[in-house]
Amino acid sequence: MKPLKLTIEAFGPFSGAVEIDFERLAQAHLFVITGATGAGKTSILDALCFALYGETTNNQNRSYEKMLSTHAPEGTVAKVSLVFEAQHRIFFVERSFWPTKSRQSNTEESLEDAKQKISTKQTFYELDPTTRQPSESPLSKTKEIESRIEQLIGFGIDNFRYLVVLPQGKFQELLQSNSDKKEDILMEVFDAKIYEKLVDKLIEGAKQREANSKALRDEIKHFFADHYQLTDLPNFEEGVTHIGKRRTATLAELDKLEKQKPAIEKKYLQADAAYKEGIELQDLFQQLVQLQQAKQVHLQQAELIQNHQAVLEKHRQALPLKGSLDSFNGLKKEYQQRLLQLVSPQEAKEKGINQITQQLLSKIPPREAVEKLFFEKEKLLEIGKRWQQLATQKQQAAQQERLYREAQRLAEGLQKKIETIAAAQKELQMLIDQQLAKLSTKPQAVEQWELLKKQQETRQQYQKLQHTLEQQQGLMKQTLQALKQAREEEMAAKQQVDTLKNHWMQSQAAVLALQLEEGQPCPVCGSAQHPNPALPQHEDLRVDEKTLAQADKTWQQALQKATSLEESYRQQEAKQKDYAEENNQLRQRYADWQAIWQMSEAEFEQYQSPIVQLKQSLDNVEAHLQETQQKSKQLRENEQQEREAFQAAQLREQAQKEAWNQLTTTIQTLQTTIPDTFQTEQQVQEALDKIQAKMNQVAQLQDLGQLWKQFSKTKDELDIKVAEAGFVDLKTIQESLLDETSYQQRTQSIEQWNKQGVVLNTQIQGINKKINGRTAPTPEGMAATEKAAQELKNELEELQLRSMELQLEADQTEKHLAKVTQLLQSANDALSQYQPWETLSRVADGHNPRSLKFVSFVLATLLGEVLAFANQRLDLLSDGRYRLLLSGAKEKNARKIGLNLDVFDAYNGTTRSVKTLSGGETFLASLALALGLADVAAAQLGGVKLEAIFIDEGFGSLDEETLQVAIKTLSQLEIEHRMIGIISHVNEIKQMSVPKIQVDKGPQGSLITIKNLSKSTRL
Amino acid sequence: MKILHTADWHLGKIFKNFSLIEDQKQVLEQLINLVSYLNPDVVIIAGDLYDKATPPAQAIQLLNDTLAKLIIELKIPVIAIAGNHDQAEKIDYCSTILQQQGLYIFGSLPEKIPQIVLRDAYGEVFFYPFPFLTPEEMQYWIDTHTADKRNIQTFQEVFDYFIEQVKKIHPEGKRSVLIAHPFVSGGSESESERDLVVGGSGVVEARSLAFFDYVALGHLHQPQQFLGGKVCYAGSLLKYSFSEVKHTKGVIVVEMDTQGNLQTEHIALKPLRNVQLVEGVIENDTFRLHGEEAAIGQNDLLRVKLLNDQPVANAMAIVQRKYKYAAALEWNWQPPESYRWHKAQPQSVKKVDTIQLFESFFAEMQTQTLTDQQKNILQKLIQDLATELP
Repeated sequence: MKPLKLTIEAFGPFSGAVEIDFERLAQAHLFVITGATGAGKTSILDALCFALYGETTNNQNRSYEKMLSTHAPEGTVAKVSLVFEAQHRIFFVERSFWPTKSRQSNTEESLEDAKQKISTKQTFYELDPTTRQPSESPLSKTKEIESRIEQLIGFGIDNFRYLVVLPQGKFQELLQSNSDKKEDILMEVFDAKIYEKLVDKLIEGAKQREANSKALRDEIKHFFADHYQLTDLPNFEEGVTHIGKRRTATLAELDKLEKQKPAIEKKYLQADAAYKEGIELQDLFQQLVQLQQAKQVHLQQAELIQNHQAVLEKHRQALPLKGSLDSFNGLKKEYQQRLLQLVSPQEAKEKGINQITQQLLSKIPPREAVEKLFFEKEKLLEIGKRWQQLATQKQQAAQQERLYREAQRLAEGLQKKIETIAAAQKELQMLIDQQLAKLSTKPQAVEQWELLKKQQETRQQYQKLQHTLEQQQGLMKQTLQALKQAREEEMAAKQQVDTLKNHWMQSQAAVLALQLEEGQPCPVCGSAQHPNPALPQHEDLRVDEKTLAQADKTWQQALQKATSLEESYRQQEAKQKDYAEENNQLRQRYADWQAIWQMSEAEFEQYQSPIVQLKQSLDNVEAHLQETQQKSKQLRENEQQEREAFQAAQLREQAQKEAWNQLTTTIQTLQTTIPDTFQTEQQVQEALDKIQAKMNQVAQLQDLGQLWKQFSKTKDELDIKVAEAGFVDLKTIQESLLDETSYQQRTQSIEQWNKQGVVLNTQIQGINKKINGRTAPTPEGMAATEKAAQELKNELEELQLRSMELQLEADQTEKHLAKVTQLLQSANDALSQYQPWETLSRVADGHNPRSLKFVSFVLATLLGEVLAFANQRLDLLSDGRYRLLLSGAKEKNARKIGLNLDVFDAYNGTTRSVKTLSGGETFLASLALALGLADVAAAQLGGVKLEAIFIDEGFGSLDEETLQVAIKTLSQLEIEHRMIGIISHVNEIKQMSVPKIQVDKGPQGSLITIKNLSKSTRL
Repeated sequence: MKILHTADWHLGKIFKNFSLIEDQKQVLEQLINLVSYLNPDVVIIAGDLYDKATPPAQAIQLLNDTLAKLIIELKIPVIAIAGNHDQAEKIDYCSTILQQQGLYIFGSLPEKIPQIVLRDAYGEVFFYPFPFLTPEEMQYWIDTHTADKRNIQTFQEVFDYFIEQVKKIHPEGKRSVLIAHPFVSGGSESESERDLVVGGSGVVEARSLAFFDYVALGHLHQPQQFLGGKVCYAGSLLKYSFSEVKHTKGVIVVEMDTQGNLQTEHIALKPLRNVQLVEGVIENDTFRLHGEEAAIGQNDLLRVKLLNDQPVANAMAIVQRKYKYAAALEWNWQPPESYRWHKAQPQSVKKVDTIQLFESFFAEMQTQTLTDQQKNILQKLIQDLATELP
């Protein structure tokens, strides 16, 4: 089961409608539902549960009635709808509930005690996967929906709370549940009822087969009792022997009777044969009489037959002429048709063929007249041709005239062009002459320009030098000033030093003076008298060595500065001299240009401008000259081209004119050949038509003449033939000819009569042969023979009857033997069949050395598999420390295996109950177990697919590192297989890049926002 | 230009309940001595300064001291970006003020694309620090600061967009360095890196970064290179998980000449203690190591693989008597005889055949095999059941 879209309205803390589209979550595999406490995170799971099963995740404390949102206004209907996927199909379910309006009760009831009446409504249907539209009619009854959903998902609400949702505070239930509970869950998840049913069937089958075997043995007993009255047989073999004996006796008696039979049979046969012969003879004589009567009748028909023969003979005679007669009739018809084309039917009837023909043939004109018509027609055709020629020629002439006019215009145009070009050329030539005149003054101008350039250069050089000199002066002044200052400072410093030195010496002296005693020598001068010892200095004037040293240093520095400045000054002086020298040289070399150097900028500009201007203008003129020359050349070329074109055009004009003239002459000539009577072409055509009509008529009549000749000839020939054949006229012949049917009929009748005659004769002959001279028997003789035969027959029959009886009895005993043997076989078979079933059913039911039922075995195996998968994860989650095991302790009921779980601790080397794990460790183990179960369930096709798992809190019990490992493990291992939803308020989880469904508390109920992949608190 | 490139400090990391703060202090001291000796022009820290969004006080203090020594005493500019372990806003604290002193630190992307210009003897080098950003955050930045219409879904698109913007402001012909925190495709991971995207890897192609002369990256804890040395991960400062036992940890020093050609060198830093994988057995209540005793320091963080056949009581305590910092214990567990239902490994998961189940059940109970006749009986029954039930 995988949820796709959940809509919640007025349920829990959600007052309005909120929608969670699980498909829109990025990746939609691992996501987190976060929010403050009480915001409504668990309510989302409750809604999911409620939509599917009509109950929440925790029915004791949060039954769905209590989920009616308190924020919603009165009268609202709480509604939850879910679109989910199960078994690869998509379904929709919706449940809603609201408080029924109950009558006001008198007693006050507290909110908790009040059994508020709730009305519910639910609906469920399947959706088409592509359009997401309903593909079946909806179910609305609770029971129907319940059973449908349970069937689709594979289990009910109880196991849902273990397997799909790990509810808050209860995630450890599956891990710590007892054996019976685990058995329940495993049975449902893996659909293990089938194994139970298998064992039941085995037991049933075994029972059946046991009953079968017993029944067969009873049957055999009854058989012996009923048929042979054998009730106390020690065993079945004896019974068989008894039957055998009976059989032998019967067979012996039978044999005896058989031997008596042949003699009696023979006698009987003889009597019977004699009787039969008599009967035969009687019959033959009767037949003879009948045949003779028939022959009489036959002879009476002879006359009719003769008649037929005569008619046939006549027909045969007329037959050869049939062909000619038919063709003559045909020709006559054709000719009559032709006539009707030329005259009316009435006339034809009145006058008869002959007359009309003669009338028509008389209208044929003589040969000369016909020939004349023919010539006239030829002439008219000729004239017609000429008319056509004339028309064509006129067309051509018009065209030609157009061409001629065009050529004329072209030639004129070209001529004009040439004139224009000549004029332009003249102008250009004038311009060129002007420009050349100007340029004659160039060489002079160039000289002046060169000179000016030189003068410019030298002027710049001089100015620069002056500037440098001034700068240098300035610098020297500065340096001198600085030097003066430095000197003063030095002196001051020196003074300071001297003063300080004095003070110092004084103080030194004063110190020494303190030590002086009268009579003792002075350390300095040696004198024993000290008339004027130095006095100690005043405080301010006490100087120590350090200060002195400093002052000395200062003075040294000042001295240095002064010396360096002096040096600088000397250097600058030297430079100044150099510059002055350079200046002098310049002045001497270019003495004549000194005036220019002295000029100011403006004056100099005035001096140079005319020269510059002159140069410029000359340059322009040169440029223009080139241009103009270029143009002139082009024009000349152009003119040439145009002249050539003009000549060609003129020639063409001539040619076209000639052609046109020619055509006009041709037309005129042609016109003369047409006679005046035919002013237009139409007239010609009319005359032509008239003549043609006349000619057609003549042809028709001629045709008719031909045909008449043919017809007459044929008639004459036919008449001759008829006379030769001996017939009177055509009509008689016509009558004598028989049609096919009549001919055949008559021929057949004759044949049949003949045949009949032959047959009768043959038959009579045969009978006579058979009788062969014998006489007919008498009635009395017949009777006697009959009686004798009958007596003998009776005797024989009796014998046969007895024989049959004995045979029957022998057969029966044989059958009994066979049956009894068969029954014995079946009984043995049944026994051998029963045995394996017994073994299987007993072992499966727990009658084995380990006293273990098959179903328990299967469940334990499955659980072992589940643990193997769970341990894979637990290994990662606990860093190799823990593993889950099946507890070895046996249950009270010896036929089951204990399904309790223990945990092995690698750090301790001990195995202990899962209940001893810490909170966080329990969470990890529960998680691993749930996922392991989901894995195995997915693989077993009989099991359901646990495609989605929701974990409500529990991560808070893990420390940081373990939390990271848990999330990493979940995301890496699970993401391919299933959707995992985590409800958590843990901060670290909120910080991760994982899609989140955020539930926020608002004043009007909670709201949901979906965030994908962001850590930043801003988004 | 001489660049010291480091990344993935993860200050404040707790490794199996042991705090690594002392180790980090020691290795950062070494780093400072190295910087003082080499005197580079700039120090680059390419992300994951802290291990968590809310780092412990000691970690903050350590970072503060280290940066202070680098900036104030040694007077070397530092460019740092936030990684996926850091919280952007915390890193951004006072960043504009700090820039005045030569500490260029970026927790998130500012309004304009960040560009830092430093000069060496040959001219200017342009640095582009790109702090870690999820596709949503990049989209948000584009929507609020530009008029571009984009739809950013993957980390590759994030990087493509950033590089596009850099190309617009980068002067031609000048040298450039990118600092970022991606997962380059083909790179080798360790256990201690948190996924950039839960359940995915959000890779970026190395060749999409080829525009820059040098790309200084952080995130992967093993030092590694791409594009012939142009794109480098400095690797973490210390070994942060048992999958990194074989790594050499340290920093990268890069010499860039006037054309942007590089000479890179990885300089190893010696940690306070080592992280190792060891094997051994427990005999007579003591742990005996397999291998060189001298190679294992007393304070080393160890993952111990026990080779005993049977589980040993109090195994962890015994091991820890010898090596105080043994952090994890591994023991190859086989199902004991009495637990006949357990398999060490899950079978290849397939639908269990009922007949096979019965056969194994039968064999165990009766120590007999099913006859063919019995098998047929079962087969038929199973078929019947299959048709009976829906």
